[in-house]
Amino acid sequence: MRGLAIARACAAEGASVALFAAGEIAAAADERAWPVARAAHVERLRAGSDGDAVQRLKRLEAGLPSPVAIDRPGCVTLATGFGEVEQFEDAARRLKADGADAWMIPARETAALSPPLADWADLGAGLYEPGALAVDADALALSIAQDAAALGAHLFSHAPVGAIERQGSVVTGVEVMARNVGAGAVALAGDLSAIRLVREGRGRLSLTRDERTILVTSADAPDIGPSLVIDDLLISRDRVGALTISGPAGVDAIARRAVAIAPTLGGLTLAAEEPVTIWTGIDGLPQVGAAEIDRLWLALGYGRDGLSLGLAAADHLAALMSGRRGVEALDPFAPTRRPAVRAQETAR
Amino acid sequence: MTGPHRLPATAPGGFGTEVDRSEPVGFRLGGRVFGGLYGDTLASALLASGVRKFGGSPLLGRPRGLMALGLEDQTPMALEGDAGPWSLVSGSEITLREGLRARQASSGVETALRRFAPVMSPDRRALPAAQQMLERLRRALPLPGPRLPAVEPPPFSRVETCGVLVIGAGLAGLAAAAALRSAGVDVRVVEASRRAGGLADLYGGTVDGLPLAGWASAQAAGLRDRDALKLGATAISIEADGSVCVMERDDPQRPGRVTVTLVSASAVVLATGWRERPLVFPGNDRPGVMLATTARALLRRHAVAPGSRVMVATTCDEGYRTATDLREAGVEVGFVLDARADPQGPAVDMAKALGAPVSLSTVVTGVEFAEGEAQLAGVRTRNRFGEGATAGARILEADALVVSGGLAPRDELARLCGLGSDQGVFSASAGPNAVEAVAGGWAAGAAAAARLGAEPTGPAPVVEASADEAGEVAAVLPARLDEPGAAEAFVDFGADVTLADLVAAAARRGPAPAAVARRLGLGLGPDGGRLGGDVAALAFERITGVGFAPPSPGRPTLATLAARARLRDA
Repeated sequence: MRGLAIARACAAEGASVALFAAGEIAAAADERAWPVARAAHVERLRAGSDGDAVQRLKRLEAGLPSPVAIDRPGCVTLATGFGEVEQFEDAARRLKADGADAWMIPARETAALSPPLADWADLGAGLYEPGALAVDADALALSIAQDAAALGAHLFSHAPVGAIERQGSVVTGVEVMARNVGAGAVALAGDLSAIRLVREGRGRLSLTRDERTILVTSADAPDIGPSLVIDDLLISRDRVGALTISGPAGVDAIARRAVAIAPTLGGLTLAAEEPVTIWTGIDGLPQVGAAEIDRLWLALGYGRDGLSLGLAAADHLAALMSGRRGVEALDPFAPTRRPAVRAQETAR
Repeated sequence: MTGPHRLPATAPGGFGTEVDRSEPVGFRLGGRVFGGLYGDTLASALLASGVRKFGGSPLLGRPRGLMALGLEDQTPMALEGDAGPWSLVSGSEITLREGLRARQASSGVETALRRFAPVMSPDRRALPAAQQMLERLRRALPLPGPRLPAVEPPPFSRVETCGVLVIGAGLAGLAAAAALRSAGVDVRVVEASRRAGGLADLYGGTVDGLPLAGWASAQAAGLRDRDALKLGATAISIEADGSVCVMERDDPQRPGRVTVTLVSASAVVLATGWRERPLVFPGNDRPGVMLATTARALLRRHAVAPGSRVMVATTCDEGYRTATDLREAGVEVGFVLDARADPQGPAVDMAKALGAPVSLSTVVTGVEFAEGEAQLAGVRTRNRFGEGATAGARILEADALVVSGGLAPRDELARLCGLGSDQGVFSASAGPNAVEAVAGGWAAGAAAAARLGAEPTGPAPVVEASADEAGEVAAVLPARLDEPGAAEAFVDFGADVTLADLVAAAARRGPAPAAVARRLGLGLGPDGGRLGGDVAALAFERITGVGFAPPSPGRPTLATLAARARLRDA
């Protein structure tokens, strides 16, 4: 979705755009793993960058050519220890000061919002954002693709980029399936392929990887109320009635934790499982903006909340490429930030 | 007789081998009282009693009947008092006993809401609008909470080890086990069905001088004596380390808990056999449409006919074998409708010799269905090339349609695990006939034994059976995938996905099989996509040039996955 959003935003700016996808034109696994758009992050910079993610998504959806299933179940980030409760309370105060619609709720209210959690002994307080959206990520990607195509973007599926073409220190295009495609600017929005392409081009790019698994249940899941963030477990329910649960380790371990948290989920059958790699910058933040190589742009390392950042990042990149000021809240995510940290990473 | 479709007692002796006509049995389904015979399954007794509708489809609410047996059955049933996803099994796997009480799979409130409320969104899998509205209201108003499902009791779990695990107790699996026993290897066999031998009793031929079914029974008995054969045990996955996860019910005839067994073996032989493909035509899901091997199994095992006037539509020799059986059992065969132009072989000759009328180059274009009675009334056909006396569309009167689109390997376990002989996983699926099954099974067993440093001391079994003649291969799909009626031509029966759905999804999404599968919910029906087998993949490949992932070998619940996690930690 993030690559499609960039293609669409650039095409809307009047640029001639070609998008090359290594696989299908569809939502990426990390977007499907947590198809939630939310603003209430505990992390300060992400709270800033994703602050208008919900409104941005609603605005976009209203103008898309085909309908996208968007639900508004809200989101609860549960604190799993006393230290986290204090941290969340600080975040809630900050979010409230920034005008965000999010606040702390006690365990009893969480149980009322999400009845399957009611019997969980460790249920604690949580940061509640009632306006968070749950999205059909595939439908959103398809609709953005249709809109991008209508704006003149050319989309190519199953067309992996083999190399970045350079003349000196300036990027001039890409090589796709043994053909050179010239371009005035190249934006990389696929984490793994970006690392390979930049490093093969003798550039520097470091991201940290988080190996996780997506588990999708049968469509008879009970209503869990808001989407749930429980430590590193992410749980959302789609309009079909299926739960998407993602977490570290394998599907068995995720199921074990899910059943321990909500025993009534034990009878759900496994509909699909899929490994997913979540990438973030080495400082835990995304990399969005101009790379050190001229005419190369990066939109990488969105982390687990890729859907929340995707639209803002696309508008930011499109504005920067057009020579305008981008989204101010995304400035801290410039790939050229904190050179000292990156130098350490290279040395390591 | 215990119903209108039970063959009379004067039928030849080869029909009804598993029932005792002198022992009537009474049972209840959903409160209604029925009668059957000792040795019947729930499915065979219902069909014999004239029951055609076994359940409804999950999304569209269309009436569905028995089309296939075992894991491929899309209309599962459960014993009264039993609960949980693994309580739902094919009616052909529930052996009848006096006083048995069973129920059809519950369609639930959600399905009822779907039927009464038209789907407003393009995604018909979405929850009914009324349910979505209620859930939204609950978030805003102090309404009572939703009714939560009952907590599933934690399944039993255990770890077992053996030398070689054979998955499947058909001819190939039993041959593999025979080779391994001959080599002195500790072998275990797991079989998803509650009967061993697979389809051995549906074919003529001998192994070491014994009829195929007799040889299979002897081999199974030998394994059972050593407690090395588990029936009703479904292997659902092969892990990267070669261990196999098996789901079973300790007493399949009583409500009870599921057992998860993690079998660690030095080698695994996959003898999962072949499944028959359905044909794709408008109305191919109607009650009364049945696979050829299923019809033959019901005839031979339980003396139950699929109807009183039967049409047979086929693209291979399976249809002729069933037509031959039907004729021998005294059931009227209207026509054998063969899509091929010039089929040859002993099965074809036998059917013709018994007087089964044959119409070549003929395809089914639809069925006449009496909705009120949930009964087939006729079969629409036409010449495949639009030529000859049968060029025009015809409607042939029939109350049952037997179909066969050939046999496809049941290879989802092998494809999903991605392991091969280098990792100790050996395939026994050499070919879809008795000769190749036994030879392939023996070879796979010998190869697995060799991995353990052993080899069979006895000779390989000698098989005498006829195989289909290689020749013209007719497609199971219609010539045009977007022809009228495609919205009723099902490719995934359990998930209610039609040819028109696939064409529309491919038009919207292009060659994106994973996204299309997610959108349509392919393989998420009660049959896990197994009844359609590779038909959806074949159709999508023809549209876009890209195929789908295989159907599911069986879906665990979160509770069983949690049990497996505990086993791994132990």
